[in-house]
Amino acid sequence: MAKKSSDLDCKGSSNNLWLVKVPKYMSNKWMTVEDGEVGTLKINRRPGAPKPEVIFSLKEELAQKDDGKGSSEAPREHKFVLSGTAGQPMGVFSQTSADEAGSSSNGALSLEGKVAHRVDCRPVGGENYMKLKKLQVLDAMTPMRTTMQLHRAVTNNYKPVSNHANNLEVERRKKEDGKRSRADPEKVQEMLFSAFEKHQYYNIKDLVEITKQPIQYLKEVLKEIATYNLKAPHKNTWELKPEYRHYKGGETLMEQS
Amino acid sequence: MVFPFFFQSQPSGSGGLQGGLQGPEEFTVKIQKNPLKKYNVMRFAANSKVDMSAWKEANMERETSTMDIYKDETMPEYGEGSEYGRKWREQARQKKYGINKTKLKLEDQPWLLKVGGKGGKRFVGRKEGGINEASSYFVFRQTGNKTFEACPVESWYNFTPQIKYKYLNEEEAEAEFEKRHKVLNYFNIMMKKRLENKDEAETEGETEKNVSARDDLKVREGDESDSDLGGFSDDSDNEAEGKKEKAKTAKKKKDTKGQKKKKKKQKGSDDEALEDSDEGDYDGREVDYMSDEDESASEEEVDKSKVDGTYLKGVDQEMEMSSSEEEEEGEGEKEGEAAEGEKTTEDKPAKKEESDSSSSEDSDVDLESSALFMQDKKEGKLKGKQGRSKKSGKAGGKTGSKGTSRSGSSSSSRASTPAPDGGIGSTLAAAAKKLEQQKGTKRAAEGDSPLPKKARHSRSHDGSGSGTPTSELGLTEESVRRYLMRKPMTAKDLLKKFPTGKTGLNRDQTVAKVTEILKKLNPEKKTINGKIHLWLKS
Repeated sequence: MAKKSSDLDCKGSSNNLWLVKVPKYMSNKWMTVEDGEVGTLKINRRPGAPKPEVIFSLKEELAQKDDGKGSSEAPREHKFVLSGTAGQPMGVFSQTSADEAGSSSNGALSLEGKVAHRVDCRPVGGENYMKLKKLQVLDAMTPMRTTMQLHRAVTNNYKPVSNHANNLEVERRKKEDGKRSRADPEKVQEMLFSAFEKHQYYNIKDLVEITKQPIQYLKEVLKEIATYNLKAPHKNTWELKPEYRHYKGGETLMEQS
Repeated sequence: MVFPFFFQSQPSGSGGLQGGLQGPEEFTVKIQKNPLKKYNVMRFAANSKVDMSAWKEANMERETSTMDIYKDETMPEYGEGSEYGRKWREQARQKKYGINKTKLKLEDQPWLLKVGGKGGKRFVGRKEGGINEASSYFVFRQTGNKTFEACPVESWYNFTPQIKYKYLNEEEAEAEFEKRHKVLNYFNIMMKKRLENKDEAETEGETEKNVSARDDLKVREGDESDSDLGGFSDDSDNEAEGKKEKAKTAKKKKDTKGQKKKKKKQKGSDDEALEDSDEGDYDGREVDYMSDEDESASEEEVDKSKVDGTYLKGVDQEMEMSSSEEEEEGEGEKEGEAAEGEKTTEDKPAKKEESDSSSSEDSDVDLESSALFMQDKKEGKLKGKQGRSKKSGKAGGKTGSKGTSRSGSSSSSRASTPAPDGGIGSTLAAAAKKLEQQKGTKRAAEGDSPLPKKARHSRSHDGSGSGTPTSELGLTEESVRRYLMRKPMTAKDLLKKFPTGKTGLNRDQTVAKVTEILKKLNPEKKTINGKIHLWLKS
């Protein structure tokens, strides 16, 4: 039985897992740790209560670590409120990819387990928490747009100019190069054939660019070997006549003509 | 490794685990950060009773069937069929007009989960957005004796069972909703849709998929799935779903009815008013109230029609119905209803014999009167029937008169035609022949009277000069003669009769030909109003 990459590995299907919803400040702290401890869980089963009491304590040094977001004020203790799945079957599957980039295209899928409890992480109220919240609120209150004073005037706005440098450049080049001269018709045909080998349809302007010929002369040469295509999809383009198409090289034709 | 009591929702006091666990247990939590392994949550619908631990075999893939929307715009980049600089031009054009093409990401495509191999259940998992914005989810798993491992969840997918039946999309549902007071039969709606699909599929040449049991409304692999549909979507789908359920239940009920009504449906699916029969539709049909004595007389004919096959009978019934409807309309103003009743019942069996595939506009009236003549011979109530036919003409007096004229002219032929054994109805061919004869006689009778009217009309128009076209006749001596015989015309007018377009000749040729013909005919010359008119005395 060949194993397809799309097979879901169901080995772990009977594992019981907790799906824990954690506030952002807490998860930020957790992610700064490199594969280490983040805290401790105290699970206290109380008789008479269907669900145990779970308290999570954040590791002290982690709690005090300040990552610039005021997280040093994070409360140390959080309650984990367990609630069953409420009738919704939930599971966790994982995708392992070979490289960091594409995770969806080439991952090996496996079922990690089913969710036994949905857990809510709630901070136990206290001074720390209030401080944290205050900072958060202040953060949220700052406007998105601010005014800044510039110390230097902006210099890359475009001033009106009689003729742009770019245009001048182009004109100068044109004068320098002079008008295009007519080459031998055979040579031109050669150039055309090699061009048409690469693409089937060409615009007249592009052909002028390629062959560096005056447009009238080029048109005359073209009329012999190519046709003008007026209909869509390739509007106003030239293509080789059918008898010249599928030709490996233009030389043989010229020998014949 | 497993401490079952924590993870099962059993009350902790049920004595699951032995050993002193009175005090709080301490576990360490470790964060498992594996950049290559991404965790996702799959959630199923509430109360769907999906037991993941029972899964032995499962297969999950991204659904890529809907991803081809943007694919059709590629042209070959080089070689045949390509254009120099096409790509750049396309890009420049899109920038200019600000067209943003959103690239479809594979990560956002839904999952297609198949559980239990080929025959098992299928689910579609759609990504839920916004779960990572306000808070993060972690998966806690107990590893080892005293440790928990926490892994961050990347995305959340909601899985719903894949729908295998066809449903109406929004526009179709709205259209059907509009007609809900007309159409009671939900079975019909899906039939229509299926027939549509069948036609499309045939034109595309998709025969293989077509054949496999189009009887059920199963969705095939290649069908495009509507990404908006899902168990977790709200308002807009409720109506469609409601309709779906109705259609399902109604289908079962109406199935038996459908068998009976199939013939009628195939006749015309657009013909809604006639298509479905509600409870009381055919109550007015008088065939239900046939009296005993007529039955014995008509039984013979009924049997014969039965012999011919059910086809004939079906059409008969059709004719019956439509004619009965007509009769009911026409007879609304009548006097003797009892007499009518009698006559209608007598007509029916006769009609059964006479009627077949013919369907001209006044065929009903034809049949009626033809039936009348059948009865004539048998019962000898010609005059009474004539009077009736006059009144019942739908088209009014004309048809009535037609009927009478017809009866007058063709009564002789009619009387001779019926064979004593009732062999008229014994074969379809014979019946058809009969009808054709009747039609022929009728047409012959009518032929003379309308034509002169037409001719008179045309002649009165001639004075204006436009006149009738000569497309049939062309420029011939015969046509010229006809014109000149009718009334005197100037040469100019005569020329106008033969327009250059119609006869294919240019002006000079026409003139030459006309003069030639005139020389031959040598018409008289009369001067009317100072102009010379040509005239041929007949």
